[in-house]
Amino acid sequence: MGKAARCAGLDAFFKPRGCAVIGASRDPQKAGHQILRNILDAGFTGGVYPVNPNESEIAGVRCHRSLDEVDGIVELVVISTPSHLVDGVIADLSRRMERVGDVRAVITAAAGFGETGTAEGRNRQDALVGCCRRWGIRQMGPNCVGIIDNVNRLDTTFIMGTRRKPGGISFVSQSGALGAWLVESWSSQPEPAALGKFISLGNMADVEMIEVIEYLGQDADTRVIGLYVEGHPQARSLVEVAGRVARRKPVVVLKVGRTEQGSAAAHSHTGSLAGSDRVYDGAFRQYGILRAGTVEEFSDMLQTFNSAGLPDGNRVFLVTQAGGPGIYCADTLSSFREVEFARIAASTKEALVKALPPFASVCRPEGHADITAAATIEQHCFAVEAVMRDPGVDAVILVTVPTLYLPPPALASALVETLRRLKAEGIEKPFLPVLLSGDWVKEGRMTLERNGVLTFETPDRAARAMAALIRYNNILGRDERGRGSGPVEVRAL
Amino acid sequence: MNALTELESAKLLAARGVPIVQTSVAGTEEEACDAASRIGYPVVLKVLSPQVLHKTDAGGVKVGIVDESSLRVAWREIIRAVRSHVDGAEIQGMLVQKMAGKGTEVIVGGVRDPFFGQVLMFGLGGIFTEVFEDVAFRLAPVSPQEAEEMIRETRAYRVLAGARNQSPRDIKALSGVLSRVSNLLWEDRRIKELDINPLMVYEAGRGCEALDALIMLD
Repeated sequence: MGKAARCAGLDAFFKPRGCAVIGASRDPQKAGHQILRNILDAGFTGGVYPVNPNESEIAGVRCHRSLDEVDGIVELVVISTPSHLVDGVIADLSRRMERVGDVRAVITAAAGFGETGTAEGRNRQDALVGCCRRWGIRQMGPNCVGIIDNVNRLDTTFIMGTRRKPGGISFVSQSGALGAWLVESWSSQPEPAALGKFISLGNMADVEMIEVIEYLGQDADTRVIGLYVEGHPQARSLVEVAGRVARRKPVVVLKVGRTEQGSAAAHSHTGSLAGSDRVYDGAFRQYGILRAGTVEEFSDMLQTFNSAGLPDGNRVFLVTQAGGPGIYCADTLSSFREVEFARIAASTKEALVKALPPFASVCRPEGHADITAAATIEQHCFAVEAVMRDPGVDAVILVTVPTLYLPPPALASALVETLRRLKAEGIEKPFLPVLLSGDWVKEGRMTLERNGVLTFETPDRAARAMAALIRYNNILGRDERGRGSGPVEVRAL
Repeated sequence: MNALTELESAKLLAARGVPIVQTSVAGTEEEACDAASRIGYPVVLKVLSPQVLHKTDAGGVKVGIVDESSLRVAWREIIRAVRSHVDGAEIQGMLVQKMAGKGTEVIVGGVRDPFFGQVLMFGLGGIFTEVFEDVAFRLAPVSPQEAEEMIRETRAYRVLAGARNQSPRDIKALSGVLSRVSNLLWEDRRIKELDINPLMVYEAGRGCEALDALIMLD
């Protein structure tokens, strides 16, 4: 099969004309139940066909004795039947392919295959993949959580408590558990993350990471790609493909295994230092792939790339209303060599001094205005507007700790209004606000995020997200000027 | 595993345009004296033996030799030390090298990674590499521009760029060497491991020179 044909083949996972769940269950504690629930909850528009020989109906949907008996079109089959029953599933799938021949994709959620490392597990996996290959069916997994496509309203996972908000983030995970962790925590943010596709790869017996990266690179709904990587046998092709995609849209990786030691058998200095993680790290930098250090940073980077545009340059202005949190933010920001504190015009400084409370500290040092805890909602908005308008500023971070006379929802609405006014005039710069903290600011953060302004949990996280925006800008600039000649980030000490 | 001698390793690198410090091969003490007077004192004397991979550890290196009489003493001491450290070491002779001038020592390396294939490493010599593991990797081949990014990525960059009133080092020449070594790694797939340790980087405009090299083939 050619590359184009293989990529097109993945469409069936996200836009099937009908979906069957083999091993659907009435028991709410079984994956086969939750998968069906999620497919229904996500609002899938095609036919939904639970398959279980012992039930007549599950979750209000008619149940079928076998896949072969389903009378509608089935393009996607989700298998949650325990792996020891795989022979029966293969026979059922084969009968349907002989008779109807409509299935194009299979997602195997069940575990107990190649990942067990046993001959039995491997044989089951080979039998399943062999059957799919014979019929030209693509197979995801086995041992995977499934896929989510919020744009096409499909969720074949058994993840609980998902709040759905379609958007441009696509997230591919080699670990089902880490994938579920992020999807669940995105659901419990004040406003859920704007997730387009989530793909849990499982054992990668057929569909594997490189092909998925290529697919998402061409996917118009995907604005930013997040990869959770544990390792890949074709590591060089992985970074080459991801690097090509990264010239069109940001690719962010979370790669684990940082502490792996170099080969003890090495004879040279180089050999003893070449732990595979260091080599991965160098390869990511070489190919313009952004690496996140933590799950939190990974999550922030994906959401920031999805919601904020790229800045025109690296000059950041920091507006703070609280001393300590402000300094905390400035510290993190200044640890990134690629970030420059913006120098604003004398006229902007004068305007700020005039409008802000008497003890406000304007540009001492440059690039930072502390508007003090006495600042009103109007003064917050005035300061943000003034620096956003200044041509010497490429991006703005706001850190504020709203007190009793600064109701967070009112502050948020006023900021939204200010940004809307600027946008109408064509002034759009990345604006990363931090409202501290917890439940007290939840509603305010929701107001901002529902209006497309991403908010951050801590000043530190906003600073890191800002640095990532600038780093990606540099990566794009490096390509324009010829590979490798652009400014680069220096590892923070 | 087939380890090349320093001389064989240096020849392979020199053929790819990697500058090597002025070196002569001496089979006897007399030849060493002749070579040293041609090169000019001070010189370095190093044992040439296929069995000795780590010459310094085996007592096979003497640096800062200022005249002929100390050269003769050094020759004999090296033979004694190597014989006692490495049983049955076949001593093919010694290398007489010009003593390198003032500069900054860096390590340029290569290794075949099981997943990525041929990769290039850069790091500052001595304690920076040994203790802080302040090194950067790239997949071969690497352009001179990519090599420069690699240098900048290490904390050692500031040392090379001229920290604490030191004159800046020849980063451009260093980038060129990194790129050339990466091309060698890419084109000669027999190479399993490679160390240029140290490569001496001189003041900007004065280039750099490999003072020692070790290459392992399959």
